[in-house]
Amino acid sequence: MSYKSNRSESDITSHLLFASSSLADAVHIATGADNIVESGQVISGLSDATNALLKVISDMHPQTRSGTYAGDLTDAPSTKTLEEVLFDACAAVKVELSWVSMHLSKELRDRLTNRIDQFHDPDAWEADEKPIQIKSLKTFIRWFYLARPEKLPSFGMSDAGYLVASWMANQNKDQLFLEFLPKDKVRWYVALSEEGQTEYANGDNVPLMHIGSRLQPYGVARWFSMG
Amino acid sequence: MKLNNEHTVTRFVRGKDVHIDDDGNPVAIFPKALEMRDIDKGKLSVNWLEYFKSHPAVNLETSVRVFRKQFAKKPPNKLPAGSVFAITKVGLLVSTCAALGHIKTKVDHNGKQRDPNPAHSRIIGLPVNDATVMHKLANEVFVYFVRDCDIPEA
Repeated sequence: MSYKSNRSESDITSHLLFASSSLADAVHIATGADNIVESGQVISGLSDATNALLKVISDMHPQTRSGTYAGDLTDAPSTKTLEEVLFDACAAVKVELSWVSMHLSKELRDRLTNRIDQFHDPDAWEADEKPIQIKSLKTFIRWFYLARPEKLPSFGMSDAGYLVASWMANQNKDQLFLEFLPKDKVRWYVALSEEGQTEYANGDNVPLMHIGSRLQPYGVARWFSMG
Repeated sequence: MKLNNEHTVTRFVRGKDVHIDDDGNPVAIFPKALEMRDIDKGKLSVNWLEYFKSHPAVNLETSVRVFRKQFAKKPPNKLPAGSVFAITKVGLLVSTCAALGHIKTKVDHNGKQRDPNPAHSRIIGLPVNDATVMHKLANEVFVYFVRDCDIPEA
């Protein structure tokens, strides 16, 4: 079975983006302002040339901006088959990652896309599952760009379609789970084991900018550092 | 029938609830893997290995094959890629729950011979979706795994 895809067009867009400037994706990551590129509006503080470039990029990027998958397909009426919905969800992840590929290692992108593909197998899809929510992926990307952990996580996904990143340490007894929610919110869970006793802690709906300070008491270096 | 402390049970866990290491091996499950759904009616499903009355390794393989067969009877028919079976002893499960104050936790075998999965059993007496219990069971109880893909078809 074949599916219509805008992948080649998106690839071209991505190449242009990377070849011309890293500024656009830096703005995209750091501000989370998809609407900047989305609407092609003029951004104060950027040169006319850069604004013109952003406008060009906006116009050339139909897949995620005005196209078929906005990250919440299951909420919208659709005539698509399940296979098409899941294919589009995986494609949208790859497009989103291509926008910021300069800031994410190939290993991370490969690891993430491999798992996302694995989670979206139409033959093993259950009715109560939701495909990956792009808003969740965007929260992860922004968090990763800010936190820059050396050690890459393992990835999971909730039934609601939210991305989960997990790290283990201390023979898998010390655990960190971060579930990336829409709108730059994070749900977190920590298990720390010491002298046979395990301490658990968790938090919900923590703003992205505060997650670092929330986790600081637990010594995140144990999970994020390669040493 | 109430299972005793020496009995072994497995819990099916989908790939997206599994933490894998850099080599792709399962090393932990997410607490969410122990979440009860409405259809569970407050009882968490597991499979009792000793039901098959053979060598432990054979019991495990048989249990996985029977589970697959049962799973194939209704959509989505196929186990998701990356799925694992998390394994534990009933004694560890019960004592861990008791330490958390849930002293009535036990594992009951259905005992229905017509059941497509005759080893199907249920953990009874757990609070529904209690975060502390789910975290504790994921972190300290269900800590051995076999991957679905590692069990060949008969």
